[in-house]
Amino acid sequence: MKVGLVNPYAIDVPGGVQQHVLELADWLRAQGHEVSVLAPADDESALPEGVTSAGGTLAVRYNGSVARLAFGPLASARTRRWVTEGGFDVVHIHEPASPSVSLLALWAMTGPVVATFHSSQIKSRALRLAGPMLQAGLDKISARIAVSEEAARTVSEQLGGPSVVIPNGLNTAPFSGLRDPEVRSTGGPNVLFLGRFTEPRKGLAVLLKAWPAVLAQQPAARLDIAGPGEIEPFLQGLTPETRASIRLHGSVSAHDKEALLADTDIYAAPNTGGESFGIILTEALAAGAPIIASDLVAFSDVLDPPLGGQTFPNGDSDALAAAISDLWCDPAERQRLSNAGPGRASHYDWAHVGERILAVYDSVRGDGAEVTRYVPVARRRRGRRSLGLR
Amino acid sequence: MSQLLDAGEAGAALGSVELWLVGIAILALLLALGWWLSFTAVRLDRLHTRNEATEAALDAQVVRRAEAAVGYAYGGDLNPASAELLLDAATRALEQQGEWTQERCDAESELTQMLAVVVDSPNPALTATAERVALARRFHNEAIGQTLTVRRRRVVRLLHLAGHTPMPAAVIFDD
Repeated sequence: MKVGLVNPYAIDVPGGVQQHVLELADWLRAQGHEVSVLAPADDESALPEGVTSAGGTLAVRYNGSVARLAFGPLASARTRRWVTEGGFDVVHIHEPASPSVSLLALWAMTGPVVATFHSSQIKSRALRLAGPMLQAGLDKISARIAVSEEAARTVSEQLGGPSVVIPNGLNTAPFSGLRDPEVRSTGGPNVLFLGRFTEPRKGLAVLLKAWPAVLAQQPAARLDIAGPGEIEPFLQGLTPETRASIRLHGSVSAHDKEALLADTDIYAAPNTGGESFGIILTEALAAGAPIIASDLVAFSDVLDPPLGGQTFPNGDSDALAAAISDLWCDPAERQRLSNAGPGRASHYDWAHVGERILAVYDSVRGDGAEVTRYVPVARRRRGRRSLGLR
Repeated sequence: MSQLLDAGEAGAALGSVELWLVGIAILALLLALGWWLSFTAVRLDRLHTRNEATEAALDAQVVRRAEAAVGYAYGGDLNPASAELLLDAATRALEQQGEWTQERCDAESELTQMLAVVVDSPNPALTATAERVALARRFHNEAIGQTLTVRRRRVVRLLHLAGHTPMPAAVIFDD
């Protein structure tokens, strides 16, 4: 099968959607399919395999954060050429409502189109204002995928109608087998925080507020913090003893992340919101790290507490401190969580997720159907209607 | 008397500037209405195109499922009685082509039920084709549902914005 994938954000900037698209492309190629990725790129000299650049991006405020999008005449022309020359059996567009190459691609094509909604925050104001223009694209989508129940709910509220829920994929192999089979019960708990802590919604402040109470109960406790950004503003106001219990790792490589997850006693995810899918939780599960997470809907969907991990009331530092202390004092429960994690993570492995996406591709393809350039009805000659079918 | 004169003056005033404004407003309204009608007609064309595509996809998937069932029946995993029943159901489904008549839907439902009865150990190939039939039918019916929402609007029916395309109907069978 010849598959076209469209990614709206700059491919050379790390991010959840970009990672998902590139890994899906790798998995599909490993199954023998031909894949071409269309994405904006600021540095066109270092494109990953099979990626076509739609041109450079501009940083604009969109959906509550600054996104690097491509939407000019160059991006538009390159998108049309990619569609025309691609000869795709199916095109899979990510974040189809985003004002970037995703929307441009939807406008330019007709035929079997699958779309995945990643975000749980679609701005209704933007949707209302751009309604008719968006509608033209959305009406061409044959199958809608949402990455979580949370994202599906948002899609249903904002655009109407159901979608198939297929989670983000994950390569579980690098995470498995690194951890000691027996959980530790001497010393103090090593607690791990991973992520871009400069974003308030990642919740580092909630964890740091809880930390003195954890230390009071467990003096040997250590907190590992890894992630890019300036940490000092967060540590101001902490006592020297509290600071001494915190180990800073800065920005870490994928390999270091796997090692940190394999070594920690408790993985803390105190995120306060804005998560549509907890990819980091699935990584922690694959590594067998016992998890304490805030009770966001997206997190509860992944963890199904208390089976796959524990949750605490979002933003409640006292509850988080108590949960860390209690879980450390219950080695049997930590052992159970550690053993259950990899099995739960296998639902998110590409082997499983990829097959489900492939089933959706097949189910929108008629015999001999292919994606072609969309010709507006006014420019069609009578009797020669372009149906995306031959 | 003076009141009448005032009214006359007011009428004269209305005859100049205000009348222009009213005229422009009506023109703008008509233009907006025209744009909206043409947008709806073009939208319906897109929706009909998608319906044809999702129906073609559903056709392809049910054929693949029936073919997989035939392959399984001849595969030797089944006892002869079950194999004959499954072959019969699959062949009847394959004979039904074209429009989604009640007869065709019944044939597909019967194949689904027959598969559930005769296949006792999980078969990945059969499961995969059945999953694709269910997905394809779901996507097709979602597309139909959105089209019906637009086509049931009074303006659309009154002005024949949908052209000669027949009213689509959901495809309902047990998958």
